[in-house]
Amino acid sequence: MSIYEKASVIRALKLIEAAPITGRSPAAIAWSHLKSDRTAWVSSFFVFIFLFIGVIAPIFPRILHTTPDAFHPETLDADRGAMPIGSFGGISTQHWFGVEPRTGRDIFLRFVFGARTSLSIALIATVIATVIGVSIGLMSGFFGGKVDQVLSRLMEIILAFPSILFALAITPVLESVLTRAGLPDGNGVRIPVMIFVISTFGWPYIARIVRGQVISLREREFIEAARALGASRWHLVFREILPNLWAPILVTVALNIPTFITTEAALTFLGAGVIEPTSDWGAMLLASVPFYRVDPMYTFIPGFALFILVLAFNLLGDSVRDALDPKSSR
Amino acid sequence: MSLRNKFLASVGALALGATAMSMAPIAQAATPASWSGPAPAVKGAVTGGTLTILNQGDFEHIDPARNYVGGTLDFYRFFIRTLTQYRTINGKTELVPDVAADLGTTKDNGKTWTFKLRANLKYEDGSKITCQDLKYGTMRSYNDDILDGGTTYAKDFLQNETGFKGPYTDPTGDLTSITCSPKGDAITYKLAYAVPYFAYVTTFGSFSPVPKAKDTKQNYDLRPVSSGPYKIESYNRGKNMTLIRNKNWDPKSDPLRWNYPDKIVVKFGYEQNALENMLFSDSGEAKRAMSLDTQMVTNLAEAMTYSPIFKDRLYAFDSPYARYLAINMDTVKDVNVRKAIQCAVNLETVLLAAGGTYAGAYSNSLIPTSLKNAYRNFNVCGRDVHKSPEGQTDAAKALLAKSPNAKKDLILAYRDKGTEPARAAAVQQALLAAGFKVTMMKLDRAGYYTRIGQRDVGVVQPDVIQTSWGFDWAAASGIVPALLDGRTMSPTDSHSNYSRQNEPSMQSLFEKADMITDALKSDKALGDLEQKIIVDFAGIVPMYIEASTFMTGSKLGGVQADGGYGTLSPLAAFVRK
Repeated sequence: MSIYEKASVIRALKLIEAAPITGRSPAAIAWSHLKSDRTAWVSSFFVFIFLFIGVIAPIFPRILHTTPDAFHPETLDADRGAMPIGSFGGISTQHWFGVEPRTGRDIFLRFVFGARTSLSIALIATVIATVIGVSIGLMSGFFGGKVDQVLSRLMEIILAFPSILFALAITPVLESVLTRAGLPDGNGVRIPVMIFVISTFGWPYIARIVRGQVISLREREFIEAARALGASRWHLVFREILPNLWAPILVTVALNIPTFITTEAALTFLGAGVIEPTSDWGAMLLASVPFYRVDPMYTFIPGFALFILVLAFNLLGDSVRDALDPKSSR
Repeated sequence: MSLRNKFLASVGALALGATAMSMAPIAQAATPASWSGPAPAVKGAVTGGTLTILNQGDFEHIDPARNYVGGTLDFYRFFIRTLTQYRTINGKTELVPDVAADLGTTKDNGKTWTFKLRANLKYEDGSKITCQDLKYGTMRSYNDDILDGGTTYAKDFLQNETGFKGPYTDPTGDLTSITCSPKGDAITYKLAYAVPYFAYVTTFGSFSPVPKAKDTKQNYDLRPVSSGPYKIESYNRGKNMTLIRNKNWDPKSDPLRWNYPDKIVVKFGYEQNALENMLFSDSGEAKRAMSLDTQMVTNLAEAMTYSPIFKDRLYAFDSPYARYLAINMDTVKDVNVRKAIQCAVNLETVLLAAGGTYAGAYSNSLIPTSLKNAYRNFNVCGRDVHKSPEGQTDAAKALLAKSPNAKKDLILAYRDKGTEPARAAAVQQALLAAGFKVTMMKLDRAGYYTRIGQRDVGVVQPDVIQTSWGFDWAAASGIVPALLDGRTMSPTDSHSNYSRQNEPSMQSLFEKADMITDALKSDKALGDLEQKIIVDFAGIVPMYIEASTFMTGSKLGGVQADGGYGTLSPLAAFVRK
C-alpha cells in the first residue's frame, strides 16, 4: 500500500467517525499528528536551538570581545602543562564553557562556530545527496530495464564500500590533486572535498528508497490514465510520480542529517576534515582526547553537544516518519 | 651535510645528538685511566632479572651501517661497539674510546686521524675483533644502495681516490683511505678535508667492526654479530626481540657499558596512548619496563602536577631539538617582511601550545645554551626573547609599512603530528595580528621533510615552514652548516637549508669557517655566523629548545638521560627484586 493509499484509507475512516465532514489533505493529517507528538516538539526545539546558535554565531564575539581563534595565554598555567587556570576547565564569566588547554581559545565560541561548520557541511551534503539520490532513483525506477540495471549496480557498488575508510583514503588523494592544480591545502579545498565525499556515499540510500516507490507507483491506474491521455515522460515523472514521493524523501532526509553530522565529525576526528584554526566539533573532540584525564570538561562539551544534536535529529526523523506513516507502531 | 633529521622525522623517532655535553677539545694527551674498563658500578644496582622495553614501533634498523635513529643508536650499544662512543655517568656525558684505545691523534690539523685499538676484543663467537673488521664495517656502508638508512659521514668525509663503491658492487675494490698498522693495533683514516670533530663522527655505526665472513648484506639487519655485553637470542620483526648475555664480552675492556639484567626483552606494537597509560599507572609488566620511543605526552600535566609522587620514575631533560620557523627566502624576498615575521611570532603562545615550561625553553638561537662556545645571546626583533617572548606586533606593523607592496599572503606549512597543529595555529594568529594573510598547509607526517625541502617549480612553495633540528654531535658544526649554508642547496632541493639561505656574502664566510680546524675556534666562528644570519637576513625564527619527558616502571633503576643521544638510556638499567 502506498502512502497515498494509506492516507486515503485514513481519510475514509475519519469520514465515518467524525462529523461534520471536512476534507483534509495528507499533509494536514501528518501535520496534526506531528503537532500532538511531544517528542517531536522537544527534539525540534533542540534542533532549532542549534541551528539558531549557528546562525547568530557572529554576535557572540562582539558580546565576549574575543574571537574563536584568539589565543589567551593569560588563562593558562605554563608550569602545569599549559592547562586552564581555575576549575572545570577555566569556566568564568568571560569564558562560559572554559578555555582550551595549551591555546586558551574560548571553548564556547569554538563550540558555536563549530556548530556552523559541522551543520553547514552536513546540510549541504544532505541537499546534494538528496538531489542526486532522488533523480537517480526516479530514473532507475521509471525507466526500468537496462537503465535500472546499470544504476542499481552502481548503487550497490557504492553501498558495498566501507564508506568511512574509503573517505579517509580518498580525501588526501583528492586534496593533493586539487593542491597540485594550484590551490593551497587549506579549508577552501578540504570542506568541498568533505561535502563531495559525504554526499557521494549518501545518495544511494535515498535513491534506493525512491526507486522502490517509483516501481510500485508507475503501474498504478492514475499513471496509466495519464499515459493514455498522452502525457509526456516529463509530465509523468515530475507531475504524477514525484508529488507522491515527498513523504519517504522527507523521512530519509530527516534521518540522513544526523548520519552526515556524525560522518563529518568522524572524518575530522580521523584527520581528514577541516584544519586549524577553523572550529569544528569533530576537531574539538580530537583535540580534547589527550586531556580527558586532566580536563574532562573539554571532551565533555563537544561530545555532549554532538550527542544531543544527533539524538534530536534522529527523534525528529522518527516523529516525521510516524506522522507520515500511521501504520508504523509507536 | 647531515640529512639525519629528515630520516628521523620520517620514522617519527626521537632526536639524537648530545645535550648536556659540551664539546671538549679532543684530548691528544696521555690516556686517562677512566678510558679503560670496567664502567664504574651503578649505585644500588642488582644483577639479574629481565629488563622489558615496550615500544610503539620496531627499530628501523639495527645493522650498524643503517641505524640512524636516536633511541636505537642508544639501545644497540648493548650489542654493537663502535670506534668511539658516548659514556653517561651520573648525568655527565663524555666522549670515550670504545673499540679504539684513544680518541685519535692527528698530525695535520684534522685531515688524517690515527686511533690506537684495544687489544683482545672478541665477538660473541669468541673470535677476535680485528682492525680489518673495522675497515670492512666502514667499507660496507659505501653500499648504501643496499644498506640504506644510515649516516653518510664516512662517504662524505673520507678520501676516495679510487672511486670505491662498496664491497657488494665492487668485490675486488679497496677503500685506500683507511689503513691498518702492520701489527693491527692502530687504524688510520685519511679525510678529504680537515674535520676537527672526527672522533664524534666515529660514534656512528659505520665505524663499527663487522666480520666479513659473517656479513649477510640486508639480512645483517636481523642478526648483527654482537661485540657488546648482550647478544640477540631471537628477533621477530615487528613483534619482539630477546637479548641474552654475551659471555665473550669482557667488562674490563669496556668503559661505558653495564650488564645488570640477565635478559632484555623488547616488545613492539603498542599504541601511544595505551603504552603511556601503562607506564603512567605502573601496572603489570610496565613495572619492570621502559620505552625508547614513547614520551609522556597526554599524561604530562598530571605527571608534572604531582611530580613528587613520580619523582623516582619521571625523567625530564633537555632534548637536542631546536624548534624554529624557516622563512622561505625563495618566495619571501623582502628582508623587511621577513623581519616583520620574526617580530610578529609570539613565542609565549607557541610554547604554551607545545605544553608550557615543561615542553622547552625560549630560544633566540638554533644553538642550545649548552654549547657554550657557540651560543650567542643576541636579541631578535630588538628584544631578549627569554625576558619578553610575546609577539612584537607594533614593530612588525612598522616594518611592513616600510614595504607596502611586498608579499603579505603567506602559506604556513606544518606537520600533522602531536602539538604541531596547535603551534602552527599560534603562529598563524600572531601573523594575522601583524597584518599578514595566512593560509594553512597541513602536511602528512610521512615525507614531511622531503616535501618542505622541494624547490621544484611544480609544487606549491610554503612561505613559512615549521620545523626542527636535532644535532648529530654537540658542536656548532653539527647545526649551522646544515641549516644555513647556501652551498648545500641544489636547484630542486634545499636539503636541510629549509629557509633557502643563499646570500653570496655569507658563502665566503662559510668557506673560511670550513678551514678552521680548532674545535673551539670553529664553534666561535659558526656561532658568530649564525647570529649574523638570523639578525641580518631574518630567514629563521628560533622559537624554543625542546625538553623530553619519559617515565619508567617503579622496579627499574639505573635508567638515565643520555647526553650522547638526547634520549632515555637503558644501558645502565637494573631490575629491582
